[in-house]
Amino acid sequence: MFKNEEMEINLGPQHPSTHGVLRVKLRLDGETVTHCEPIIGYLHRGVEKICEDKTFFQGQVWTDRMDYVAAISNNLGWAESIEKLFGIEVPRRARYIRTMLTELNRISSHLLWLGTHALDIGAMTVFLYAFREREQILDLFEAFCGARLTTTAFRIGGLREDLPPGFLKQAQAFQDRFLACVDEYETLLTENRIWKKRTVGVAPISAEDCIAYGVTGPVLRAAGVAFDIRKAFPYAAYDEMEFDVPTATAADTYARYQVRVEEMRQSHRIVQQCIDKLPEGPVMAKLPKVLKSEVGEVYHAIEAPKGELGYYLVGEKGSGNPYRFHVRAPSFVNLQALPKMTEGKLLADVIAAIGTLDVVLGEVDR
Amino acid sequence: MAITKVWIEEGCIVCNACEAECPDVFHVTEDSCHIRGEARVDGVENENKGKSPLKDELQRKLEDAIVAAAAGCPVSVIVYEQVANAAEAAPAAPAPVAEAPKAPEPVVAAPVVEAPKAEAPKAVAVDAPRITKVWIEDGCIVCNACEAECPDIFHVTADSCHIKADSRVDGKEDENRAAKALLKGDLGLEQFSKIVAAAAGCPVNVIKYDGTAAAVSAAPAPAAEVPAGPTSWDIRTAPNRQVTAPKTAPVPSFKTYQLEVAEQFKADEAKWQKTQADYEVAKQKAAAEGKDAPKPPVRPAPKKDENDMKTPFPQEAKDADLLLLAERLGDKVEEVFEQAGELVCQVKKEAVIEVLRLCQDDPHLKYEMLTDETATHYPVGKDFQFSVVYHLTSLSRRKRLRIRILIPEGFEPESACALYPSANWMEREIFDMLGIRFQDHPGLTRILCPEGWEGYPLRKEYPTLGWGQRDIDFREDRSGMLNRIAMEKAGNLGINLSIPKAD
Repeated sequence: MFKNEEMEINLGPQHPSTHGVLRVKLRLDGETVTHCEPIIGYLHRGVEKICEDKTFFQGQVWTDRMDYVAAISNNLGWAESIEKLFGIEVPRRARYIRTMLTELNRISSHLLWLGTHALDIGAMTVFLYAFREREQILDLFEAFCGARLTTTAFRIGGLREDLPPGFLKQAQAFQDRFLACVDEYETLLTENRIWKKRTVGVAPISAEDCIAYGVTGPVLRAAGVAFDIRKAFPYAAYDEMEFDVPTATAADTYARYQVRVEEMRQSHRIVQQCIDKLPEGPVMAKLPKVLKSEVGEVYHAIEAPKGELGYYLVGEKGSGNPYRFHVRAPSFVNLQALPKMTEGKLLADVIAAIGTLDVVLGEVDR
Repeated sequence: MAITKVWIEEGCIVCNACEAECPDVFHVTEDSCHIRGEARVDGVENENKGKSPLKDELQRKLEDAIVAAAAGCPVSVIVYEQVANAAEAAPAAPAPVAEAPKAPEPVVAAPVVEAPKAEAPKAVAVDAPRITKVWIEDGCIVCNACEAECPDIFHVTADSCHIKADSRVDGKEDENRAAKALLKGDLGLEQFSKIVAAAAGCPVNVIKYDGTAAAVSAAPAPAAEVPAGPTSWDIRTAPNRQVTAPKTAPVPSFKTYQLEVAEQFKADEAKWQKTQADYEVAKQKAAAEGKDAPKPPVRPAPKKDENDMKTPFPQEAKDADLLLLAERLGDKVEEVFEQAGELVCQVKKEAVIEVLRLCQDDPHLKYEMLTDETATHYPVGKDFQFSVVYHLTSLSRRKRLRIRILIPEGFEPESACALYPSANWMEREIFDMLGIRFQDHPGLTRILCPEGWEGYPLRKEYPTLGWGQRDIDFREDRSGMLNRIAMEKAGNLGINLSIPKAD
């Protein structure tokens, strides 16, 4: 009557909780996961190959489409890595505006994560509140560059245009009410008994394992490692900003929730500093009309909302295209830790684990 | 073929590409590219807006270089006049008659070619290709292509294309379908190539003609029918999807950079010596002829860039980590250098695991995390085809280090999975994209491409549109919707596009 054999099931590739087309092959013993194997590549478009055929300027639109939830972060990494390859110095005002937009993008990415992650594990309400504020941020992006998600916000050497008139006022209006909104989310979740039951102690991964598997971002910080590229290797205008790196020690889903919520507050702080201290001046560096690279290779990483987003570029002498364009996507590397987080745990926790890793499949598959 | 004149139009961006291609003719100054005085008949050095001819001996010698420079100009401001070699063509006249009406060889790369056409001799042989009659069959779609091609014969009205009255013996203007009147005089001979082109360019193939045997045989054969609908492309046969292989293997290295700089210095020095020697000769010659002495040459100052760009070239390794690695590993290290503030250590391909272990374990190094591992294909590398780079991060010391190995095709580096488990998927990706196998990898299978995918996409010989990629022709109008819309629009404009039914 009772069967003891293990059962193999596929979670995805079409499953609402996988946030895209991720397939996870699971072997179950009752409700316990004994083996977990993420299978990816369903969204592979060959961005790296395509960008080898595009000029340095044209590559940006492809970076929008990797982590489409945080396109501005991707744009920033792309622009800065090319600026590093050419040794371009970006004007200070442009760096401030870039920092401000990137931090707003971090907030919007975390809001999307908060809404959908809570939705996955049963808390419906937060989703509606989180998307309310995200909408405001997307309106700001639309005012800046005309697009809400695929922003193509920056240019090599700075920005295409200065901020539109009234942008700072609108941004300030968002700033004024956002902290109260974060408190609102917290009243819904932080001390919520059901939420705690579904997150405390779920999908843990220790600091050692995080480092071994290359896991970065909030997941690493929730394990107690205060590693943030904004502090460790400052880029854009982060060396002039005051902010803290939130950490937690529990290394579980709840700790990651706390870290991300606190990160939103810190991002809010950085945006406020950018608005207050925004310097005057040009927003575009002086560049030749045609960018021809020398022989060189650079690896430039930024702290994207999901973790370390690195671009590796190889330049060929006299060529207007990158010889090699490689993206070190945080979601790709973080997803590797999924088996470590779920094996030996319950099936229902796999959903929480995928959500807490905050993967975007456009970036995993590239 | 020879180039008689070359000049620079407005809009030079001073990119130096032309001088690199053909230094004997082009000289790039701070504002614009100039045509060198020594290459020109008038001896002045400027953009040559006056179109002074090139010196005779250079006209043929530098032809290829000038054509290449013009093609390579990013803003296409280099313009030249090219002639089919007049010196050879003239004595050979009368040219073979069958070839006479052909246009001079088209020069695709040149933006503007004002080549005077070789004059066709008027004496006509009897068997020259000549068209006697032209007529239009049923089904003209009034597309105007033929009139654009050959306005002397064709005239497109609202309903159909007509053969012009003044080109016909009977002096009527219509489709000439029933009458099939002859063409007037020598029109059929003079307009031969244009009529053939118009007939070939007709999208519905309704232009028909008759003529001498030579004319009919000279007509291009109709293109083979291409089956419509979604097709599976074979990239190896599709010419528009071929890839151009890279010419260089750009592996940044301090050693090669130093060599390049030294070579450049030597070349500059030699050029300067030559300029001085030339000047001495010119001075003596001028003195002997009693003319004014030429202006002494000025050594060109290194170009200053008026922009915020400072290219980071490889520099000598000064960082303590690199020096430590070089000291500990001895001859296992091939090179250490810094570039753009990044530390690079190139090691022997067999020793990479040992190096990684040292980086991880050594208390002075402590690179705990393998952030990224990737590879690059260098098809024209000297004794290597790939580079594999490992980006290590030290979380505690806030440092980054790049370890690089260069490997030939078929070499299997050891897997870093045992040291850094994060290498697992990264090495799978490298295998999937570039076909490099790693020894002792726990499960080296494809990760992004499906199993059984043919080829390795990130190799340089792999086209951007992959092998066997399905290509759907979106222009194909399966339901006839586009056709209906076109008909309706044309109807509103009072144009009859419908094909008349045969009786």
